[in-house]
Amino acid sequence: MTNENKDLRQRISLLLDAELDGRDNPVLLDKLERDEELKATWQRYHLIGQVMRSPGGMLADADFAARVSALIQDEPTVMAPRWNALRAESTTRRKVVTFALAASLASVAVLIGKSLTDNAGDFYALSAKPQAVASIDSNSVESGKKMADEQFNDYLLMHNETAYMAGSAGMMPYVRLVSAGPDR
Amino acid sequence: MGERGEPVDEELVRRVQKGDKKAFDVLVLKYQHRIVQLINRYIRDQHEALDIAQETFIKAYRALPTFRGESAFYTWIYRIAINTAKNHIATRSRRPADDDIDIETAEQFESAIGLRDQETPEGLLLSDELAQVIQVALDELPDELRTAVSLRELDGLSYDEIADVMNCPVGTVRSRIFRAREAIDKKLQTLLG
Repeated sequence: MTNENKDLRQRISLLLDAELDGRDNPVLLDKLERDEELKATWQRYHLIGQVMRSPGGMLADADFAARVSALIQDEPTVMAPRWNALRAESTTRRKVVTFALAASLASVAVLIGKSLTDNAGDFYALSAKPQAVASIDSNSVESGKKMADEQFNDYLLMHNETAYMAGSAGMMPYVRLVSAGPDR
Repeated sequence: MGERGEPVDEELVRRVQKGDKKAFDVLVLKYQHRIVQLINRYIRDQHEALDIAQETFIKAYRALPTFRGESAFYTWIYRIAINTAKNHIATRSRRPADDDIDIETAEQFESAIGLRDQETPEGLLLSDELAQVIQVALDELPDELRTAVSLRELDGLSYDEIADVMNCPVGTVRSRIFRAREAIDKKLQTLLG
């Protein structure tokens, strides 16, 4: 084994244990991908660990990885979207949507506020109207109310007698309850 | 053991996602035995277990564009393996026990399980021998090498932790673990020719 080989194998041992300086990983992985001898070392080192951890456990046969590799060669090359870029885009989109929502809410609030301010005069005028009603003769109001009650009772009695023809007999108990006569 | 292989896996996955198929070979070499053993817990037939393991890796490769690295690659492929094994069991249970395979089907699926030679292949016989050789080589190691490699492989300790336990510099741990692997590997290579 040459010194260079020994050094590479030692680095493979470190890579396997995740003890290699992170900056060295890409360079070593480049070599590992292309050097069949290094790949075999990588495979055997993993095999050693696996047998130590579970002696007697089933192992992949010697050609397993080669078979998978051949099948992968027939597969179309996978190309993943760059998730970081997608994440950044998604964050930007979220910010824009949030801003748009906030702007919409602010516009609605301004419109409502403006509408309230513009109609404030009407509101105060309406508030003042009861005072005008209060100035009407109270006797005439009482007599009008009495007349309306009598007319309403007549209506209810008539309804009670004829409603069954329209198939709404089920309402009768309720109608009876609410059709109390005038105070006596 | 923790997920300390993750940075390497992440780098390899990134490479595959950029179209580097060779990076996937490195992942297969790393995980093949673990995946086969996992599937063998569900499917006792070794031929079928190997087929399912193969299918697992192909499925993983096809699904890699959707892998976002939110979990470790190993746990992700572990899930694929379990689901593939369970689906296989479900399909098998729906299949009549003495299902004859017609010649057309056989031509389409040369590797159909029903047509496979039922004898144990050489590869599987070799597995037992490999395990035996590794065990013997391990027993023959000097104590400090066996302890170092055992603390790493069996207990999952980091080199710093092993250095603490063995009361030696981290550089010595690196060297001991490497020498242990080399000694075992030498015997393995003799067996493998």
